[in-house]
Amino acid sequence: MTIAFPQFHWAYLLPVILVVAGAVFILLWDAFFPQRERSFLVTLALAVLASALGASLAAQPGSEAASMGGMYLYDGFTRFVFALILLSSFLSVLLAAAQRSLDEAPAGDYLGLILFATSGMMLMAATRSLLMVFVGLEIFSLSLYVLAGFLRGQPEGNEAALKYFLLGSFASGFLLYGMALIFGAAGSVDLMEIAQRLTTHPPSRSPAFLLGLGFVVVGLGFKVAAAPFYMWTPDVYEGSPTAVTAFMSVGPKVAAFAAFFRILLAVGPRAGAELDAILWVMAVLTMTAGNVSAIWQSNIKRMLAYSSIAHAGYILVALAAVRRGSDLATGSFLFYMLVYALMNMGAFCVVVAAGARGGERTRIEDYAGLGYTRPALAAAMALFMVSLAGIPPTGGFVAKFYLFGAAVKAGFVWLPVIAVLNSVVSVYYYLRLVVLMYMHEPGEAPARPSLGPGWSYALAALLLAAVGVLNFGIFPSSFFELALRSTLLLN
Amino acid sequence: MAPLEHYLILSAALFTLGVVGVVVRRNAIVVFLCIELMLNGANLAFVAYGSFLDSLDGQLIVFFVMAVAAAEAAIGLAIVVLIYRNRESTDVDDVNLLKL
Repeated sequence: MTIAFPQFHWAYLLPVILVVAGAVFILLWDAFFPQRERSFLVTLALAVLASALGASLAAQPGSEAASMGGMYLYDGFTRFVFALILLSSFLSVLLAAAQRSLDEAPAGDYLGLILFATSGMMLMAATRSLLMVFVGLEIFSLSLYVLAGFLRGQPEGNEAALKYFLLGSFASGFLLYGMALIFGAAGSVDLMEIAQRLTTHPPSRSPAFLLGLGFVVVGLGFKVAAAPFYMWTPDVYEGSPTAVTAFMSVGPKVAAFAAFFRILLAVGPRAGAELDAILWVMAVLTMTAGNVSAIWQSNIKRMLAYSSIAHAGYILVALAAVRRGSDLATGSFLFYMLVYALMNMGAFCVVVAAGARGGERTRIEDYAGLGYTRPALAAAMALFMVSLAGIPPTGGFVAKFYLFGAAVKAGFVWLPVIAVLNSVVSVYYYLRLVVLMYMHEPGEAPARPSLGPGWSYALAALLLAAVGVLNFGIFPSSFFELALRSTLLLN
Repeated sequence: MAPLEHYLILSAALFTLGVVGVVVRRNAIVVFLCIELMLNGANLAFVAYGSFLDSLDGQLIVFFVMAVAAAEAAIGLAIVVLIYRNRESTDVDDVNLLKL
């Protein structure tokens, strides 16, 4: 048996290398010079993420020969997903710097962990090998388990970390066993070789393969918080520090959906109608459960958690369309993730900015009258809520329009109809917050909680998200075309 | 050499024991041990398939999984210690501050 060493392509690896090197540097710097200003580390983390974004945009997507044995695949899809992941990490670093309850926490630790998680997400999205999917997933999951319980003195944080850890590792166990079964049935963990093998050996005759695929869907379904594996989401989102919650609601979903997407693209066309049915049911259950449960929530982080579950349901609609080989679905999937990242991070950013050192405003009633006490913040929140509900002229509307249109083009009829009905339900709880902010008197909440030293970070994150959401709503075509082109280079 | 089925049945048994343990047991450390059992069930399947298919991939993957499991143990035990310090219990039923 000979082992062929693949050629290294440093230009393609550079984004990941930059992020990892930055994470190690920040961790060590904070260990050796703990008395330094926190703003230095924050600036450094932002610079690292920005340069990684630059490096990934500068690298022209490569051919098959440059895939390093399938372990690291740098195609147009990877490039778009990298940009998305780096953008969400950038916003999370800004939020972490703005959040008052993280002021006393060691900055090097959480910034380093955010960067390590980012590298794991990037690796997970940029591979054709199931092994790398697992390793990437564990890199970011382990970082997020720690980040969830980062405020050690808070019992809610501890609890979120324990729940996330136990249920997350449980799901990883399923994922790994599924991969073992697929490896046994197909003789490889490389998705391309698996796809080739499936053309000669139809999967319907291999129960091990189908079982393995089912387990992999369970494992990934957990990470993207799809029904019926979403039970952990509201608890973990509520208990974690808000900046971390914002990161958790976007980054892992992008990475896990990207891996899910690659797996479906490889095995989907050959796995037949049973996979169609599973995705259909999962999508409908996920969006309905998310939207219906969000109505009853009194905590804004829990409401946003259920809202993110509902959005995972909409994205599953795109995956079902991708399974049928729709190119349009790939583009609208990428575009939806981009808009979702901005509007969801933006909403969490308002939650961070509305909080004070004494306590965060997490109850929905706390937002009553915000339109009078903090008009700019309330306007931003209203924009993000309108966008999450999918009302024009925001990015949320355009993204949903493309997504459901792609599902119709792929031959689904009832799935988009149910999705649109779900969006109607979601308008209720998104707009309830807007009504509360503008049409109710302010409660006895602190009138003008001071933001403290982090206000400029919060402002930057808010501006970035708000401008993005509006821009994609009014001028969506150039970015949508970019997303569409990102799929053409996919092999 | 024993046929492949024997290894697979053992690995499936290990995995199932792990799943049942996670669902039934209430102590966080025991739950975590059961998760490790699941991972090792998968590991055994990888090694058995690798040997049967005459492919090094199976054994290679197990090394990665072992490294991941070690990192997971470090973080998991740290979280359990944190929980124990704050509330003198490692029972997952006591961890109920956030409504389910």
